[in-house]
Amino acid sequence: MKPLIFLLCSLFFSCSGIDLIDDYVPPTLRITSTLEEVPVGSSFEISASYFNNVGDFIQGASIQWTSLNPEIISVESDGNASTKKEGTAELVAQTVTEEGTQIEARIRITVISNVILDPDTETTVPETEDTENTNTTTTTPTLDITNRISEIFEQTSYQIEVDYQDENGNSTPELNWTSSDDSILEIDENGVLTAIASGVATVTVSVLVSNTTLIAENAIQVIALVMETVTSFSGNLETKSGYTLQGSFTLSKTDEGLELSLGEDYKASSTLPGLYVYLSNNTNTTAQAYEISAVSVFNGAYTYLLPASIELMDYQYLLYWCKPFNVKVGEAKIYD
Amino acid sequence: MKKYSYIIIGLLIFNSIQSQWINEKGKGYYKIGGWSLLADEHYTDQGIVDPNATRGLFISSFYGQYGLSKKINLIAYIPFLVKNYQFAQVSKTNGKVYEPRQEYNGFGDINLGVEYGLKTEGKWVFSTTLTLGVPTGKVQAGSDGSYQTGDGELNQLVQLNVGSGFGIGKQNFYLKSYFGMNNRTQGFSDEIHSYVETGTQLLKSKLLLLSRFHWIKPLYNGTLDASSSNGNIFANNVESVILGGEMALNIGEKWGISATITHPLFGRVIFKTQTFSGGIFFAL
Repeated sequence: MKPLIFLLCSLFFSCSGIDLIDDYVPPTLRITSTLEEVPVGSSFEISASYFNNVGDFIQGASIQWTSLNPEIISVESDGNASTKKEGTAELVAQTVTEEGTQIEARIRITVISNVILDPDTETTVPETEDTENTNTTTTTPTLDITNRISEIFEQTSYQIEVDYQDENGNSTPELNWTSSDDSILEIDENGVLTAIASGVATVTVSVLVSNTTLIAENAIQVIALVMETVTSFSGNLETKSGYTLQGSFTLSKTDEGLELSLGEDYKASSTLPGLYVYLSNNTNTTAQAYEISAVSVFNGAYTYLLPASIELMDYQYLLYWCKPFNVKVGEAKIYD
Repeated sequence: MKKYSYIIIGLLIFNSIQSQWINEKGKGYYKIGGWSLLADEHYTDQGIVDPNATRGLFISSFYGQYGLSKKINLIAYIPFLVKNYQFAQVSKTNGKVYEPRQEYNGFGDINLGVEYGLKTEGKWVFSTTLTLGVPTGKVQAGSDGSYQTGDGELNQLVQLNVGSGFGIGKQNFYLKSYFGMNNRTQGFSDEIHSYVETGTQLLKSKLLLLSRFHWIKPLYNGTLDASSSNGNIFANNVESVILGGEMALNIGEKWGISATITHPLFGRVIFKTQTFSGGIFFAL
């Protein structure tokens, strides 16, 4: 039928037909958070994006989160999560497509310890404030921190435990907890410390025993919370046409935004008019794609700087496309 | 790019039928016609067939050849309307129009030529032709500049033509051929043109049937490519091998109609499609 249409169109001046673009892609729910490791006691927000059956990003799509391992990471339906203990947890995002199909995406996150234990133990420091001895005791009171730490991630908490025995062997003292700098470390009456900001502070626990104050101290460094995330993807360009396109690429985060770097082995045909490079979620059309630039370098290393508004996982493919004639030249998968 | 190449090829093939031998002084041959292609495939620079958005090109033109003297003919090809268009690009999935239909109408590149008869009598006739491609068309047109009607360069095609007649049984045939060199400017590669045509007359010489073969081969000595085109999106190093056929019917004593079809056998950076043309010619 099509040849006949072409013949008729050619004979009778011009056609006003349409090209149907086969642009269907499976609807996708994509987790855009790139977390790999988070410390115990921290909270974070995890996010996902929904792309419909032509690769369009659907803003405001209803996405529900659940945790398959809530004892390790608990998550609210909106994606606010908090870590409970060390281990690996799997979080699931779900949404319903326009066609009524439920789709999901999963991510595995490892929860690591939020502190570094201090192997050195300090001896109890008895301070005699009053030398009036009225008793003859057989046991020397002791106070010690049994789970000392040297470092803790900021914005996380830690329970400090002590070992105390008075002269009568009782172990339920009224302890006094203090921090040398509340802007760095806070500690409550139960010995739960919260790391506020980077720096060094000392936690002191003391108890008054028979006019003698026993003191135990733990100097702690609070370090900035850096969650392990993916910061770059690499891959290879592949021609999908009769035109040359090859070479490696890396898409990476920088302080200014994203950076697309083509390797020394990059090569593209220079015979095509209007060759452009895109970021896209659909390899069959550039309709929803982000147009990076017209291609002006066809051999060797080259770098495109992308605006900060584009996130690392906003697009799944690189496309090379002859824009005027709508010819797909090649593509590269940025990530699976 | 590809369209321009087809303009040239169309010109050469569409109008070659009448130019096998030099017109007598004061005699002329004139034709008004249309030439059309519609393509959703093209040959890449490696000769591989790839799809593209459906593009159409329709040219309304005047062709004239006039005998200035016994040995000199003047030739003019004037594409007074070149229509470039592209089909609307529509999502098959949801019907969304990605790009509406686009079209640009303009004046094309004029060709002016002179043919000189080197040997105008005898079994074999020889002539030479100089054709100038005058850049009267628009180099950039349409939303992205790709709906151009001309290539922006003054090219010079020099041909050596040869023609002869022969018979098979009682049927007479003619054979004509030329070899040409097209000197292109503005960074385009020069081209070699090779052409062979044979035909015969039927129905008491009222009907002419002919077939032709045309090969344009670039010399790859140009500098123009996508990185140095400075906005000119015409492709360089275009190659084509075209097979064609034509039927010309004399209706009146001095006029008739013709129809032509061509088919590409091979190409580089050119549409892969048939072309169709038709027109009314006058021999005055």
